[in-house]
Amino acid sequence: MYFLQANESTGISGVLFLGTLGMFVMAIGIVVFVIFHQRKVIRYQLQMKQLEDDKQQVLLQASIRFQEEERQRIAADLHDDAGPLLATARLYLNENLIHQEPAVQLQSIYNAKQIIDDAIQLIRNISHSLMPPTLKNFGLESAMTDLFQKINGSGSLNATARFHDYRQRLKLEQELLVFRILQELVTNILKHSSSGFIHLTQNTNGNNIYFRIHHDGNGIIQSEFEKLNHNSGGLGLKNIQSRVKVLKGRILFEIDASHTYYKVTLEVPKESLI
Amino acid sequence: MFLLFSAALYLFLSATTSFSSIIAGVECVLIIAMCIYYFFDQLKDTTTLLIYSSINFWIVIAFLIYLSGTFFLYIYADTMINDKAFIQQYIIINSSFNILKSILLGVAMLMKPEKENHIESNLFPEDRLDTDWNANQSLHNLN
Repeated sequence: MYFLQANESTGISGVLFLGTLGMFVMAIGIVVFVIFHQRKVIRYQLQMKQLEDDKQQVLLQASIRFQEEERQRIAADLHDDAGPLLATARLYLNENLIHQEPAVQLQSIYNAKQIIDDAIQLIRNISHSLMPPTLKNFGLESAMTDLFQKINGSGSLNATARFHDYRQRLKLEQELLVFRILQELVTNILKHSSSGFIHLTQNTNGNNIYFRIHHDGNGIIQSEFEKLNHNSGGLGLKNIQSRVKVLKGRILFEIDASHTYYKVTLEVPKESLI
Repeated sequence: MFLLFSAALYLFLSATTSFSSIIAGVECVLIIAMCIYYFFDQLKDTTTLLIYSSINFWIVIAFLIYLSGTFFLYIYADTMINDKAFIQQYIIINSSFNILKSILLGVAMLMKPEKENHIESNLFPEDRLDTDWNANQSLHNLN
């Protein structure tokens, strides 16, 4: 009896030992499988994301470079070809002005001269807006100051710019991208916000340069910016996003705590790989 | 459902015994199944980072390993409680897995909570970027 009991006890002990070991091994197996499977999935996702980012970066740079080359060409054509031609036409008309007697002819020629003068000025303005010479020759600070002075000149609102720490300039390609972003932001503020004040501040912190635009009109916050970006329209905001990506920077749309003004902050690393 | 099941078993089957192997066994199976479901859920979620960087993971494997190891103990406890050899084995196995469970729970407690992933605007030098605007606004208010 005791022998039978001992056998039964030994049997159960064996079952207990093997069962416990089996369950433990199964639990460890599940945990190890989950960990390794997840690592494999994450590695694959990171690779795909990297490929996608690289591809998008290349496309963006190509697109932006093409746009800038096109703008430079148009600016050069307008300034170098159209301007002198119109100026020459004006000289011929001036000749006629001297030699013609009838008063009516004089008046019409004088009017034509005025129109041509306006056209020359307009073409000069278009050329400057396509590729501001101040940016290339004197840098971002001068170009932004120039832009803000023109806005002030219109009398529609008060625009000021202040660069606190721009001794070390960005590269020309970076300055061009930043100028386009700020120009687009200011254009949007002028068109949509009905604000009375715009202020641009520049500062440096570590390896990053910061630009912040404050305005007291109707603005957008970050969630609205992302939503508009996803919509089919809103090419201006898409261009901003593309340029920020090329610069490897960040942009943030916020409203202040007291809900009295909006601010847009652009962070640009000094050493972005353009 | 498990509570109803336990109550039914105690009332209708073994009213005199203080420990029921059936209830303990079912409890183990349920908790192990929930632990496996948690892992399955984590694998489906593609937004989480490495699974072992979360506190919940360590808590779940603590209970998974403990209950896996003591499952057979609980099943045989009801019938073998008077066997001295079984009691010795019970003490050894239960204590070992209890220590392991406590170590894993300790690891969970020592881990830092996960940070939310969002753009932190306080990384911008706020004081410097807002100074001009605040000065301008003060001037504007005075005028």
